[in-house]
This record gives sequence, C-alpha cells and structure tokens, in this order.
Amino acid sequence: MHEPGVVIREAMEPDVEQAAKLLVRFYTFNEEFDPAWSAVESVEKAQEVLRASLGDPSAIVLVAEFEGRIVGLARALLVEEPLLANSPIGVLKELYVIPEMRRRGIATRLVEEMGEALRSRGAKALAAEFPARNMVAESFYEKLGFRPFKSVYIRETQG
Amino acid sequence: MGGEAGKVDWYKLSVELHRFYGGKIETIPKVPIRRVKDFAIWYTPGVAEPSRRAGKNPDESFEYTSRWNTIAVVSDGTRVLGLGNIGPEGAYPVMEGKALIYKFLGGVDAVPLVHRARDPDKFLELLELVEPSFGGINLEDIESPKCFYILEEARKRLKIPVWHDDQQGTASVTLAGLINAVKLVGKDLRKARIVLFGAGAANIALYRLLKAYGVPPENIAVLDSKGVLHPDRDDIDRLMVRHPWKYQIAIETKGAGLRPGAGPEEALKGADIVVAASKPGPGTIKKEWVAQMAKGAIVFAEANPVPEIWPWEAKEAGAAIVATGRSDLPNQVNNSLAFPGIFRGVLDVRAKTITDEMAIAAAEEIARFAEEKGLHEDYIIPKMDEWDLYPRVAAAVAVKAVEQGLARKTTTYKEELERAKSIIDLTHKKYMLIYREGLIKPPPVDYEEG
Repeated sequence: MHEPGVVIREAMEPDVEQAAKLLVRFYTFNEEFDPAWSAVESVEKAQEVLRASLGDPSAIVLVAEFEGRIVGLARALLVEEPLLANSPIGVLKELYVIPEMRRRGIATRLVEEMGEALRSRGAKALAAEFPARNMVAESFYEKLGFRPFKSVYIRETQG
Repeated sequence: MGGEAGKVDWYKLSVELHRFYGGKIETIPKVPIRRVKDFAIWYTPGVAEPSRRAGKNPDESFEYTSRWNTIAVVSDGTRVLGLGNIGPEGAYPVMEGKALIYKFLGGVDAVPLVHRARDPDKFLELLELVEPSFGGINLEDIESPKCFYILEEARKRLKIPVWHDDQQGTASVTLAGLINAVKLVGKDLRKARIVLFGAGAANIALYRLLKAYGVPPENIAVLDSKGVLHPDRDDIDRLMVRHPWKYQIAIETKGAGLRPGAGPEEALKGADIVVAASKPGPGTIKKEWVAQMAKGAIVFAEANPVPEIWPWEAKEAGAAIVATGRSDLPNQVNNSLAFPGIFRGVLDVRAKTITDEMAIAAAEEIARFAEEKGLHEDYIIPKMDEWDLYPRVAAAVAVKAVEQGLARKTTTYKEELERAKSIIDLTHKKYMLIYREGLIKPPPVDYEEG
C-alpha cells in the first residue's frame, strides 16, 4: 500500500534537524532488545553523523516526508569487502518510521528505494543491521526477501 | 485497616467464618437417587451409553453432562484484588467467592481452578487442555499486560466463551454507568471528552468497549503513570515491544489532542468524563483538577478500598455525578451486576464467544434497567439486590449472540428471560430450603445488620 502524499527522497541539509531526532529514536528503540545498543542520546551528535553522511559519497540518507514533516529515515553505507564476491555491500545502518505513520508501507518504500540507490552506486547486495532479538525487524526484512547473513556476538570488555 | 469499614472487622469475621464452614461451595446431586439401583443409570453400566455418544460427538457432552452450565474460574494468582502476586493458593478464596456469586445470581455452576502456570503460553495450554470440562471460562486476577495476551489468544483458540472479568466485567458496568450519567447531564457519550486515568486491565478494556460503542478514539485520553498515551511519547517504541495494547491506544487516540507528556491536570481541563481505575486515594485525583473539568462533570473513581477522590470532594469541586467501587457509597460500579447474567445468557444459547457487542448489549440492558426505575444523580446503576436485573442481562446477551450468529442455539428475548428466571429461581429455592432446614448452620459469629 502506498500512502498518498508521502515522498521518499534523499536528505538535504535543512532536513538534518528533524531527521536527527529519528536517528536517536532508532537507537533508544533498539536498546530495548540489548543494552549494547544504548546510544549517547545526543541529538547534536546525531546531527553531526547525518551531516557527515550527507557529504560522504559512500553514504546515502533517505527521508520520508509527509505534509512538510520528516516521518521516516534510512541511512546506509557502501562497505567494501575486498574478499567477498558481492563487494561492495550496501549496509542499512538505521531505519526508522514514526509510530503514527507505521503500517502504511513507508519503511518498505525506504528499503526498496535505498536498494535502488545503492545498486546504482555499484552495491551487489543489501544488508540491514538490527539487534539480534528484534523480532519485528526480523520478520519485516524476511518479508522483503532478506535472509540471515552474518552473526555478530558481543560482550563487554573485562577489568 | 481492619476490614476498613470502621464498625465491622470484616477481615477477622471472614477468616473465622471461612474456617468454620471450610470454604463456601460444594457439589450436590441434582438427579433422583431413590435406591442403590439408580446408580446403574447415573453410573455403570448405564453411563457407558452417554459416554459412548459424547465420545463420538463431543458436542453432545453439552446434552448429557453438567458441562452446559459449568464454567471454570481460573487464576494464576498474579494480581489478586489489591494484594498483588500472592500465588494460586492466595487466589483460591477469591475464586471460590466468585463461584458463589455465579451460582447465586446467575444459577451458573462455577469451579475454582487456580494453578501454577505463570508463563502465558503455559496458561493458555492449560485452558486448551481443560476446555472439554467446561462450558465457559472466567479469567480472574491475572497481572497486566499478560492478561491481555491470554484473553486475546484464549478467545481465538477456545470454542467456548472466555471472559476476563477484571477487563470486560468492569468495563461493561462502567459503560452502563456512563450511558446513564450522560443522560442526566444532557450530553452525548459519543461527543464527550473522556479521560481514562490509569491504563490497567479495566481502563484498557473500557477504551476498547467505548470504541466499539462508537466513541471516536480521538475523544479519549488514556493516562498511565507517565502521562497521556501519545505517539510522540519518549518511550513509545518501548511500548510497541513491551505493551502493544498501550501502544495501539497511543496511535489510535493520537493523545486526544494533548501534548506529549501531558499529565492528569492538563488532561482533565475541560474534560466531560473521567474514569479512574488506578491507585487508591484519597487525593490520587485532586479537587483542583476536577474543578477545571467541563460543566456537568462525570467522575468515576473506581479504586478500592479508597476511591481516587472521595465523592463529596468531587462534588464540592463541581462534579455533577460521581460513581465509585464501594458498596457503602451511591453508584457502585459492581462487576456482579454483569458477569452472572452474561454467563447465564451465553451458556443458555451455547455461544462460542463473548464479543464486545455482547458486552455492550449487557451494559445497555443494565443502563435501561436503572433508567426504568428512575435515574437521579445517586442512582445511575442498579444495586446488587435488584434481583430482576440478572435474567434481563442474560436475555439481552443471549439475543445478541444469536443476532451475531455466534450461538449454537437460537432464542428470543422473552424465552431467555423466562429460562434465566426459572434457573436462577430454582437455585434460590433449593438454597433457601437447605438453609431454612438448618442444614447450613447459622454463623457462630456475625455482624450487626443495618
């Protein structure tokens, strides 16, 4: 289902202020699944990251805009994996849609358009990062044809 | 607080009498046993044939056994009254009390079933496993939010009606009270600004029922301890994972036009109705907040034993109508007005489930009953000793079940009213006979009447 009036486009400098809030929310949301995802919770820091990505040819930031408001965000990096045949891989680092705009296919559109944008920049595959226990994300990506690709285990350093 | 009412020490009296009678219910045969030979009918060899038939066609178990009139009152004891998580044994006296009321007011045979399955999926498995024994399930005193999941799933998986009284019972009687309260102040419930203070089992169920009744979600502000449920609240994503029921309310109501982070004081400003089902008062709801409500304000303060605000305080602050959960104050929101009649009705038509529409039908019938007697500010809900109410609730619910195509047997309002009356009357007659004969001893210790 396509929500009329929702525009997906590349982020620009004036979007940074609103989009940064969504970036922070992505992390506070995922903190729910594993404390290792807890973020610095600094909107300023998020703004810095976004600005850096806007000027970085190996990064893509997409926003979903509805009635002049940023309601969704996706940020991906083009990662070189010299020894993998699929290199470079587009890695979706963050994906977030505000609660009241969910269940309208906006996240799906963000992922699909991100896939397109990454492909045109040479990506051979698209990967997405999210907490291991986030079942909502798991079933979302599986529906879009993704499969488990690699596991990252973590522990806090000792002493 | 020794039984809390002041004059009578209900706690002490209750312990002594529970011990004296050894609990509150028992099983008594209802068939003729004239001589030992009769057991050849009720037991072997005769019973083999009803058994064979019920085995072949499980639905026939409703014909040959007490299943048609028997429900289980089920609890894991994780949230008993205001006592918290006191375990299944702790829950037992309450479940037995519920069973007593089911029988006395609804003629329904109810069996306490307390258990150790705290894991919600285990709880559900237990319900599925024992389903063949019962015609219905009354869930009771289960902690939130687990209770929402268990009710939702049980309604899907079981082919007999499942009811969670702390959700649906309280919500139904509250709705009945609200229907009449708005009539008295000349307002329209579907246009009123409503604040639900507290987001536990009762108010989350009430939200759903109000929505089904036709109240637009944007008119309803639901508050938990952190303020109004709002899509822009900081912990909204956490709610999506941990408490999808609150999350859904936040999304649907959009915070009822309040700002994210708005608390009760802001929410009550200009509101027509507040239904509090939260922490015991007094002072949980402040007089100053009520004073800011719209003219003709309706205040339901349902916490026990002490309401969130005393009725006289609410009235002094300008409330037109006040209801509480207490039997010693006017307008008691009392679940017992609904559940006995509701189960009487669904059992009699062998309904497959109890829908929100059926709960609304019960609420409307309860409201109509009070209206016929004459509404005034201290009488918006019937009282428990208005015995004619229960068969009427049964009839209204049964007819709605038939209308919705969820009943295995058909009936009319008049027919079910008569049937429910005769079943409940028979229960009373049998009971009074036993009691008058002295087969139930008078209580050795007692309270003073009046």
